[in-house]
Parts: sequence; structure tokens; C-alpha cells
Amino acid sequence: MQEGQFKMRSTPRTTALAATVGLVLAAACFDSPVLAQQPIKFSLDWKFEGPAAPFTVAIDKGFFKAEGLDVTIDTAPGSLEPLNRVAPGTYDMGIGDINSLIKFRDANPGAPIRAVFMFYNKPAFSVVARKSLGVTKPKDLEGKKLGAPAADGAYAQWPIFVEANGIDASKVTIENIGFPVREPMLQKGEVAAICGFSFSSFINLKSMGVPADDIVVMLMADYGVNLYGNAVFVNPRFAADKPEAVKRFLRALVKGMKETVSTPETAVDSVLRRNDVVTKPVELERLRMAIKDNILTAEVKADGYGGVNMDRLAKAIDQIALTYQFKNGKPKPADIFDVSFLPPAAERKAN
Amino acid sequence: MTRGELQVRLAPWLYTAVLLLVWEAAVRLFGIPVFFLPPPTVIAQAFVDFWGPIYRNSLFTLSTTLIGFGMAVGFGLLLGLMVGWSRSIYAGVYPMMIGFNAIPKVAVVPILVLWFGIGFIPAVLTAFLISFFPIVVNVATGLATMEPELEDVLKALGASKLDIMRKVGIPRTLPYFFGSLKVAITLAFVGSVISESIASNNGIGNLMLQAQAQFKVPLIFAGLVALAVEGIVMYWLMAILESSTTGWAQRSGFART
Repeated sequence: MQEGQFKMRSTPRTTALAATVGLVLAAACFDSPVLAQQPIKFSLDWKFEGPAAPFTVAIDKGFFKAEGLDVTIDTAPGSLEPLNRVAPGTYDMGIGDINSLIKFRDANPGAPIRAVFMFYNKPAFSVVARKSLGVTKPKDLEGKKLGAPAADGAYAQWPIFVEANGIDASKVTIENIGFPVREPMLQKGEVAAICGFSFSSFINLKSMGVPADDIVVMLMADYGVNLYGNAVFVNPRFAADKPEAVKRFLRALVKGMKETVSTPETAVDSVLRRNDVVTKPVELERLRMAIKDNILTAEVKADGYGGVNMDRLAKAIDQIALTYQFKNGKPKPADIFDVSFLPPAAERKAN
Repeated sequence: MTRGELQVRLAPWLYTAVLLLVWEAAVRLFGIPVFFLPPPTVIAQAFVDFWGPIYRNSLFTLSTTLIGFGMAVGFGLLLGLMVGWSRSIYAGVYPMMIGFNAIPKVAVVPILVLWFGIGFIPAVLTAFLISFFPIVVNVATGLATMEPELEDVLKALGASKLDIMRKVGIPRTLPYFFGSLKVAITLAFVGSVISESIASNNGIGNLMLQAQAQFKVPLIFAGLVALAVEGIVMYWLMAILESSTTGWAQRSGFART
């Protein structure tokens, strides 16, 4: 390998030199596997905020490194974007909305990207409204303006929310507003409700001075939307070429999850280190809310981190099919979620 | 028409055709997936399939862009003349303008949205904000580079400052002014699309966001192509305007062959 890169005239001397260098390098590699770290480019689903702690803490505590992985983590604007990054292999792995992954697979049959680890067992997708603007339940949205970023994971489930709650969608005005203006527009009362992740929108509104008892968080999962949430997924080529790296990544991630759930107040520091504009109390509250509502559910307490119940996933796909026309037939749960990379159940047990 | 002229006339079409051919061939040869880079034929199909929304949103973007651009032309011309007229106005206004121009407009849009709501107005204002600067600078430069000898002669002949401005200063500035319009119109498109992609229910920026959310990558590219076409047409109109009004200023034959 090393020799091939020398493009000089091959005098006996240079050849010998090159061979020696190559041998030394090779020997060094075999002796200490730490040198041969497998790089992994990972795309988050959002900014460096509280709920990203399991990933960042796994870097800072050396969990990935101990598995021989050199993981770099980048942020993303929303839970749909990581799919566009991981599918072509720009990123090896990422986290994003599994329901959008199901639709992405249907729209792009040539990219068999699969989920391998369920992060938000109960999705954080919600409609967040304000009592003072006259919205306390789904039906109240009729005749009102709903602010929704196009690339938002919560808005992606809006059709199911509409269906499950008997809302007349033609009476709801959807305003396409980007993430930077979503909460400010609800704060100003220009829209009566927004689509967003519960822990994003609720905490943002609260820290902008909206009284907590004025904020109504309708967690879609509590209103008949029976889906899974954001999951870690892998580029298909990477999964085929480096299955061991994927397994080791998930092993380290489980350690990061355990660390974060048991000591959120220190784990959140690894997020703050990467984001100068957030404050610890806010991010800690956000993280605690995500752990309580979305990560540490009854199912996770029983079955451990990361796995899915295939029956529940099958039902989720059925529900997606109510409002989404599958062009290539309804997918099988096992084709969406690949369990083969998960660590053994004993290792994944929730603390 | 001579052979050379024909070559010049055909060149844009030929070069574009070659680009499209290489693009199509590369995508097919290397098996690049559609969601990474769709080939031109697939983008053309997206144009056919989504002609209605593309047409409607293009018109919206075109209207916000042109209104913002119109404001920029009026304001830029006026401010440029003022800045060129008086050294103290120049000294007072310039630092502010440079600072203002340095602000990334993508950071201004959320503020505009909070002030004016979403959609039309912030898109017009962003187009205006992003495109007026080159006009001001060019007009001011045109005035600043007026030959002092000419000014002295006119003064000696009894011309007032206003006379000099009207008869020599402004005509002399026109080539700079029309040149800057070509830069400003393309910037104006950037501005309105930035705003549309942050907060709007209409426009190409919004169309591309929706397409992205539904993983319709060919439609995203179709939106880009629509923008490029609009940009080229408007640039071309500005170029015609330039050569028909200030053709007298272009005498060099440097690039003619």
C-alpha cells in the first residue's frame, strides 16, 4: 500500500527504503489497533442542544475511541435533512425521523438505508399552542394559523394527526415558517400553534418569556399518532463494508445513553462545550424532558435501549399508509429496521 | 453575418448543450443516484410533471425580486448621487453602508419576518437590502472619477455645481450605473429566495423546501434551473438596457475576436 504511493524511479535503494517504511508502518498498525481508528461521519438531527448529550458524551468520555472509532458529529437543520446526507454516503451514519425514512425508502428504492437504533422510543413530535390564543385541543386548530417548517419531523406527521383527531384540515392555514422564526412567531401571536419537537418548542417558548401555564404541548403520541421517533440509521454501503464499525458505534452509544440518563447534569456539559450560545439550566431541562418523555419509556425500561418492537413498527407503517400512498408497496418492518447491529439485550438494559 | 459573428451567436447554446451532455453522461456512466445528482433528463421530466407549481412560484419570486430591485434602483441611484455630490455626506454615510452591507442577509430575514409577517414583504425587502449596495457604490464611483480638469473648465465657463452634475456628472455615471444593475438584479434573486426559504408560502425558495421535505430531489433542481433561467433573462434585459442607453461608452474592441 505504502510502496505504491511512491512514484519515483525505482532504484534498488528507494525500493528498499520504501519497503522498510511500509513494513514499519504495517507493524505499528498491527501492534496497536488504536492507531487504525475507523473514522465515522455522523449527522445529528438538530443543533447541539441537551438531547444530543448521549452522542457528545460518548465522544468526550472516549467511548467511541475505546471501540476504535474516530467519530465526528455535525449538526443538521431538522430531522429530515440527515436522510439526504446519509443516503448518498456524504455521512456514514445519522439520526433522524424513522417515519420519514420509511417514505424516503419508498421514494428512492435504490437507496436501502436502514435504521439500526431507536433513539426516541416515544416520538417528540408535537403541536405546541397557547391557551391565550384559543387552542387547547386539536379541534381548536380549525380556523387558526399553524406555523410549520417544511423540513420539520413533527410537521411530517401532521396528516396522521389530522386523521387521528378528526380535524378539518382545509380550515387550518399552514404557514411555512423556518426554524429561526417558529417560536418567535408563536410568542408574538402571529400563529396560534406550531409544529415542533416538544422539548424544542416548549423550552424555547418558556425561555422567551411565555408563561409555562399558557403553553399547550400536544404530544402527537398522546393524540392517536402511534409512531416511533428518531432513530440512528446507516448508509447501506457503509453497513455492508464495515458492519463491525456500526456494531461498535452502537455499543459506545449505549454507554453514552446510560451515562446521560444516570447523570444528565454532567452529561449536558459535553453539549455546552460545543455550543456557545446555550445555557446549562435550559439545556439540562430540555434533556431531562427528553429523557422522561421520549427516551426512558416503559418499553425501553422493559427491553433496553435502541431496540424496536416489530409489531409496533408494523402498526406504525400501517398508520403511515393511511395518509401516504406507497408507490412500491408497504415495506416490511424488518426491511426498515435492522436489528443485527444492536448489542445483546443484556448490554442495552436501561439503568 | 460573418462566420465569426455566427460563432458568437451560437456559443451560449453550444456551451450549455455541452455542459448538459457531460452532466447526463457522467451521471449515467458513474451510476450516480438520482437523490444525489439527477441527470438533466430527469430534471426536465420534473419540469413537465410540476409545471403548474413551478410556473406559479416562479412568477411570485419574479415579482418580489423585481419590486425589491426597483426599490434598490431608486434608492441606490438617489443615495449614490448624494454620496457623490458631497464629501461630507460621503464620509458620514459610507461607513454605515459598508457595515450594513456586511451583515449576512440570512440573519436579517427572521427580524423582517417578526416585523412584517411572512411571505411577500420580507422577500421584497431582502431583495432590496441585498441589491442596493452595488448600485450606490457604482454611482458614487462614477461621480468620484469625473476628471477634475473638466470640472475646472466648466466652472471657469460659469457652470454651477448643479449644471455640472446634470450635464456631465450624471451622464458620465450612467455606464457605471447600468453596469451595476446587472450585478444587482442577480443579487436581488438571491435575496428573495433566501427570504422565501425562511418564511413564505409561495415562491421558488419555498417550493424547493417543500420538495426537499418530500425527498423530490429532481424538483429541487428544477427550482434551481427555473431561478437560473429567470436570472439569465433579467441579466440579459439589463445588458440590453445598458447597451441601448450607454452604448456610446463601450468603444473597446478588446474581446471582439
